[in-house]
Amino acid sequence: MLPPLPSNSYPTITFVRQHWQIYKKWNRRLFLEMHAAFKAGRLAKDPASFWYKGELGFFDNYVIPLARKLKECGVFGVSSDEYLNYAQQNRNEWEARGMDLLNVMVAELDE
Amino acid sequence: MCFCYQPNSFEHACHVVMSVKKLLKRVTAPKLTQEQLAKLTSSEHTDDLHCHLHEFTYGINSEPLALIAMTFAALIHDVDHKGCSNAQLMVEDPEMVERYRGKSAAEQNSVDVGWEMFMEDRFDRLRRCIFLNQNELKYFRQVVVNIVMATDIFDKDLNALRRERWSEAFSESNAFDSDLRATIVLEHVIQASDVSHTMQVGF
Repeated sequence: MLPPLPSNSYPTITFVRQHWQIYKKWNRRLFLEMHAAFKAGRLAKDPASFWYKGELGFFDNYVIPLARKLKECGVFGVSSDEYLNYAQQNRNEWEARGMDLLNVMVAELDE
Repeated sequence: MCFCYQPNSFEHACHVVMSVKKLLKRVTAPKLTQEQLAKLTSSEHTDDLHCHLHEFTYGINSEPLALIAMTFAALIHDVDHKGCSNAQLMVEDPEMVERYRGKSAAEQNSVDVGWEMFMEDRFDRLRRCIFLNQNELKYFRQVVVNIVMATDIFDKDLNALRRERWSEAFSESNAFDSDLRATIVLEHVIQASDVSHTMQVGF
């Protein structure tokens, strides 16, 4: 008989933080796409100069209000909270760790 | 369709399609009998659970053509996207911007490219399976245009209009308008799906 998994086991952590992993993946892709546009002269500013604050503003002014509206309209039943909660968690995680992630992405570009 | 997307962008389109489907699955979908449908047009349905749910969800999942249109719109919403903003398009492709009178040029172009493909002879049988008549095709196109336009979130005029309509539809002082609410909720479903990487777990 297999022993029960501890509550803080790796698979559990992976599942709980899956929203953050997905956000990081697509955030990185967009950053690289915009950086390529900047290098090609198709974007006026280097995205690295506004990425951290820009993402926070995007969460605060667009993503979270949008998720709140999905909740308010009420048609998604008991799962209405899910999107809003994940948006807020990603926003808070970006606030705490976004600058470090940005520095990693910029370092990758310099390599 | 895949080849009309920029490299890597088709994966985004697929992600948006999956997110739309996921959100729409979460809308309550009561099955209505003929009797219940009849009640919907009368005032005798207040105690009927299914009718109540139908009203509660503004009938969104009771309209299969709109749901197919949502999926199609999600699939084509960024097709032939040039990898830049509408503002940059004015610099790089002023003819295209002028063709669409300076409004949501990338989104209108995606509708045109996607629609043109859908109208090709090779999709005749598919269209005959989906649409009973020309009116259904027109309705489908209206929903597709409306939904793809809703993905332009940087146009200030369109954003102001959407905020106004949301307030109008969900204001307690205004009369209940199920169609208006359904239209606006569907617009928000595609917007949320377009940025779903910011607020969801995997599929």
